[in-house]
Amino acid sequence: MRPGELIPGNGPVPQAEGRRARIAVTNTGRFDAYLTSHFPLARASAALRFERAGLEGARLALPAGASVAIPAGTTQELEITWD
Amino acid sequence: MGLTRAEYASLYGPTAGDRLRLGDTDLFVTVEADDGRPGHEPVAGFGKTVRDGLLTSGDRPLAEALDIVVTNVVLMDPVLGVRKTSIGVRDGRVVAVGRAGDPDRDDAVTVPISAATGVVPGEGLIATPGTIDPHVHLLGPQLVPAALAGAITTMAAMSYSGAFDLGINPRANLDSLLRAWRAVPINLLPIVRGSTDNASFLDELAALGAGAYKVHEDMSAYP
Repeated sequence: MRPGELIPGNGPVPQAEGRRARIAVTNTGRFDAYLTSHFPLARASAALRFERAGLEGARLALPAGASVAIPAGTTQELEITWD
Repeated sequence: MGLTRAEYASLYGPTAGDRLRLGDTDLFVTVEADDGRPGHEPVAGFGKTVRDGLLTSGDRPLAEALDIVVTNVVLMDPVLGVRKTSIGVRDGRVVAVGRAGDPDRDDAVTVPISAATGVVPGEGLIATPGTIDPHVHLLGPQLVPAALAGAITTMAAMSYSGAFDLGINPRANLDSLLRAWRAVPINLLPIVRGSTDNASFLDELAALGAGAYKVHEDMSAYP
């Protein structure tokens, strides 16, 4: 017995249930970049090269507060959502 | 995309359908509802979502801003039930309970977080209404932190020390107690000694701030 313990309910907790897509993001800058779950993608650093058209209202499909690292000079394929 | 229940709870606290053991007892509560929006939990900290332009409203008038929001907490309330929610405080009072965030982005937000709002992370914690201890003897100032740690926010109390006074009586004692209490973040109902048949004496104590009378039928109410 653990004081205050959690007895989980059934099934996973749904996340980000809106439209999905995948995009490739290249970090052309000299420094590692981090994108967070709710940052408006269309307004991300200019050092990050990706097709921004049509990304209004999109965000990374990550749990709220999570982030992804994009090391300098690399390309990452990222899942995005319009939820 | 989904998170396991354990993953979700570690990030944002329990959600609807989860059960919690209360302390080290064999009592369990079930979280009946979650006022939040899955995937859009308000979390404060480095790179998190409570941030101007994300889940924080940047342009609400300062006069309307909540002073404090307790986010992602399990509320146990006799009226609202056991629910995962957020609690908004302004001018020292709870004024909103429900989904926290930016109402310009989500119509269901009832607890707006503005740039002027302090955030108390409630993940993994339980909030309850303050409780009332109706029988306190004011034997020392150590009582107050002990009471607050036990979620007691109101004391009905008598005695101003170890004196065998059976109330907070002479005017000087009641005055000094009420002065001292202004610096203490806990409500006080001062109980005064009512063991007298002199009505004017009782009226005078009420005017001085007495909240209740104590009549000790066993030791001082009769000649």
